[in-house]
Amino acid sequence: MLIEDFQSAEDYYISSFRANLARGVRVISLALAIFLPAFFVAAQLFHIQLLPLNFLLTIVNGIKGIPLSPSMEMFFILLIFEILNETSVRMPKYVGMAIGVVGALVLGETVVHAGIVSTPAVLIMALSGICIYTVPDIVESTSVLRLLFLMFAGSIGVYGIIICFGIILIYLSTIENYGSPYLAPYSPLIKNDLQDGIVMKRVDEMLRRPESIGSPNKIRRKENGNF
Amino acid sequence: MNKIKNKALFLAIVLLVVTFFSNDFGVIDIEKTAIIVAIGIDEDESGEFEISTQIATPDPASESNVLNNQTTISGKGETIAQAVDNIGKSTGWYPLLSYCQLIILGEGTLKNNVMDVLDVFIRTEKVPSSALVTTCDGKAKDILSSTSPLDNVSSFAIEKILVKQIAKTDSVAKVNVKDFACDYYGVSGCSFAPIIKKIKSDAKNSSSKEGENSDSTNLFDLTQTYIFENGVIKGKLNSEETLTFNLLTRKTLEAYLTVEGVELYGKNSDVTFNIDKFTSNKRIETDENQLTLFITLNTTLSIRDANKTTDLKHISTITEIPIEVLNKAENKIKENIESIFNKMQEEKCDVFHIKEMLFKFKYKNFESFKDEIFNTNLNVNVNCESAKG
Amino acid sequence: METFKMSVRQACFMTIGIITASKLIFMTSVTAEFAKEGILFSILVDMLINAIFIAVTLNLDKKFHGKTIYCVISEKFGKPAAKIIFFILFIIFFLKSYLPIFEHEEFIKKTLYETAPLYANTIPFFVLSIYFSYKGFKGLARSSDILVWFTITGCICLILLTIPNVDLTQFLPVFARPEFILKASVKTALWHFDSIYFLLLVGHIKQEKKSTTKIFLSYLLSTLITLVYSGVIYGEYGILTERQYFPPVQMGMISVALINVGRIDYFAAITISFSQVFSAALPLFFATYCIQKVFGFKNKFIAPVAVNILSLAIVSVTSDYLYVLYEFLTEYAIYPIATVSIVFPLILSLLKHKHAGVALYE
Repeated sequence: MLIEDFQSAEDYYISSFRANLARGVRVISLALAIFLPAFFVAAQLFHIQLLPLNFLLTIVNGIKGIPLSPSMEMFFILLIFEILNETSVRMPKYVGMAIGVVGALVLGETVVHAGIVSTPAVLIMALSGICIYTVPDIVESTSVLRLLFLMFAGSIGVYGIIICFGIILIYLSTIENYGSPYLAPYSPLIKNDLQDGIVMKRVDEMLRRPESIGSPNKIRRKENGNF
Repeated sequence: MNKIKNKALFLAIVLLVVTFFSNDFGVIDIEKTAIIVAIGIDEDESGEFEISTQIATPDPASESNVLNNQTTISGKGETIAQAVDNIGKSTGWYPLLSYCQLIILGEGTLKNNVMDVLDVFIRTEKVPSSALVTTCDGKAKDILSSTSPLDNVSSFAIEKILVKQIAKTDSVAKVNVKDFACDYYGVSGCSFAPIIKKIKSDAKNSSSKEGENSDSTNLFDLTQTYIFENGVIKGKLNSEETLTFNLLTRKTLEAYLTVEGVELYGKNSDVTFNIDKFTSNKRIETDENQLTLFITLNTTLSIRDANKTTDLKHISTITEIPIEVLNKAENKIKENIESIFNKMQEEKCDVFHIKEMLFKFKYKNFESFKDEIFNTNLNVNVNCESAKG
Repeated sequence: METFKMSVRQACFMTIGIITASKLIFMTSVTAEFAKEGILFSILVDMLINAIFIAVTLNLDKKFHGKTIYCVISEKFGKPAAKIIFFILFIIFFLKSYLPIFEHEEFIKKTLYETAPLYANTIPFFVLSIYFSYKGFKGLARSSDILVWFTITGCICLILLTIPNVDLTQFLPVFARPEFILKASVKTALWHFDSIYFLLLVGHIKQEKKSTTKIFLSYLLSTLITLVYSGVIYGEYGILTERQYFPPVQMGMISVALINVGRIDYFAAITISFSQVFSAALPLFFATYCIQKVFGFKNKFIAPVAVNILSLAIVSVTSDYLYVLYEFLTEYAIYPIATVSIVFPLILSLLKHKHAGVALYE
């Protein structure tokens, strides 16, 4: 299930407050990773009125003289990022440092100074790139989704994001893995399983096993910590 | 079936990629967009409109993004929409009205029904209905072109006066497009708008660079108010009347009231009171075929300042104010209310929205009294108390 | 054979999330134009009448022991009769789909885009609608579980932004002009007739305790949300409400938060428009279901594609005639829609049904 990608083993060993905060950060990071580049491009191209005035002027200041359109610019930075990502996985360890310097300084800073891309775009993509790794289990899917949403946003704006999200929502809510709905416990809403959702209860309060998994023994523990 | 699905998916991806890279779906280049933050509307005798728009442009020399430049561009047309269009045609910039927060109506537009000018802002969704409406004596273009020490952009300086801290003292009767239109189309048909007056100032604009020709800057006074009946100007409220009008119609956070010739601890002084708490109540009664407007005001005052000093023990905001002084303040407020009421009756302008109160609260008597509102009697009761610490 | 049955909770979420979203755009301004200060009473009248017929429709589920309407009619009158009735239902849903689609398209075009060609907004909507219809009741039920939170979040944000500017005296005088209230109820009836959806949900909802009560209460909650939403808009704009065609981007505009921070109300508006996509696609979903029953296509893709392409063609051709269409729908189409949503359930509730066994037709 999708929720399992947000769960980490350490969540059950630390304070539930800290665990909940961490899960919230993971969810927000995933949303930022997928939607932020798309929203940024859509706002620049189609929905200027979404941006606060001062931020809009920052962007206008930043994109003066940039030869690429906002969507092409973001696509270009995304491409660079994916190339760096792939290179860092494949390359030998002893050239790792050099590639890191090349990636960060040359491709990151120099391309901005050269006026090929703007600073806000690099910032947005860098933030997205970092956020994607907060949920490492679904990095592959997230990077594809990020590209897909960027394509929709660059083509038809926020409405494209809405439609794409709608289609993905319908798809995800109807698929099941070995009989477990992928979006459980939120769709379908399974009250018992919410104990270990985005907001989790304390471990000693989780008395029943998840119903979406379908294990025969429903009772995890009795009250007062007894098994 | 799978083959068809795969082909359809492939086609969809190709279409998406082509659309993405072509970038040709109603896109407006952000660099070619004129971000309009204020509009000034002037009308000449032939009925042609001249629109002056204040464009926000960032200063590339400045490290911070904020507006350091103001650009005022004008356009003419038979209607306001045409004039705005002509700005786009002459400059090549797409005029973006979504950030327009200030509308200044020049003197020329006030000769006829003001709604002829303002209804374009209700018709279109592109201009926010939270945009502030103001009037001015003279041309709106002059107001927008002037420089102010308060801000590099004159419209921002005016907005500061209207929206931010100063407005909380209720000396300015701010109104936006929505409120103006609601009042115009409402039962009473009476609306209002503040008047911008330029005051020459010797203060220099802080961002002006050395060696630059520093023309004298202007401050703005918005304490006077025009009142309209069905969009036509009927009269003007002075500063004190505007303050009293605001106290009656809005929630007050803090206000100051100056009363002259007050006998304060044996000295004839001009006293400025701090109005701490203020509650007002308006109601109408229809007794014996006579319409009466009852206004009740309860307020708590403390002495903020007097132009003649007193003993140390009396220099405090929590000292009990003598009753004679309180009476003076009450009379002053009462005079202002009566002055507004007299203007209402003389100019036939329903400033207190009596007709609307009649419609809402005394609907059964609405038909009988709707044409008699300018014969209404006034009954004002003002109670001022001393603030206690 | 459709074996998936949605739970009662999902039906409730569908009511609150999807059906409520269909009343958040044009309905308030049109009601205000006719009802003036009686706007809340007008909406209440329409929704209470609907609520009664929803309860009547939901009782059919118990009466027919979990069988679908198609199954019941087929058993009683034969398959050809069932197909004819379902073809009529298809036409009704097709007619009912116009207004939500137009509303949605106009909202997206006018509020989010400065300039945009028609096809950039219309075609993607129909792509989603095709997929939504293809996925059937499982897609509808599971999506409702998520969409309800979008609708509620959007509505709460906008209401909270608007409440400081509400003037309750705008609703005075109370009940002074009842003729306006009744006229507005008739003129805005098109936005209601929600019992028509529950008619086709009969047999697709799991039999649980007090299911009728729960769904009925969820419709009342939807009524409350609509009333509060429309109320705050009228409280803020008063007489000007009839010009506020797109309230999600207009109602929070005066808020102090927006002056300081920026247009955060757009995020609430985008959230609501996300739910609105599904509420606009809902009539086409049921139209697809009906046509699938009539023709019984083996390939599940044919019905959604055919219905949505037909709808796209008609929407494209008639896109400049919204007002003419609205008048036509209000004056003529409203009668067959009312007949199906009000009279038809009453007729069905009078049918005698003894058999409680396996459904012969699905």
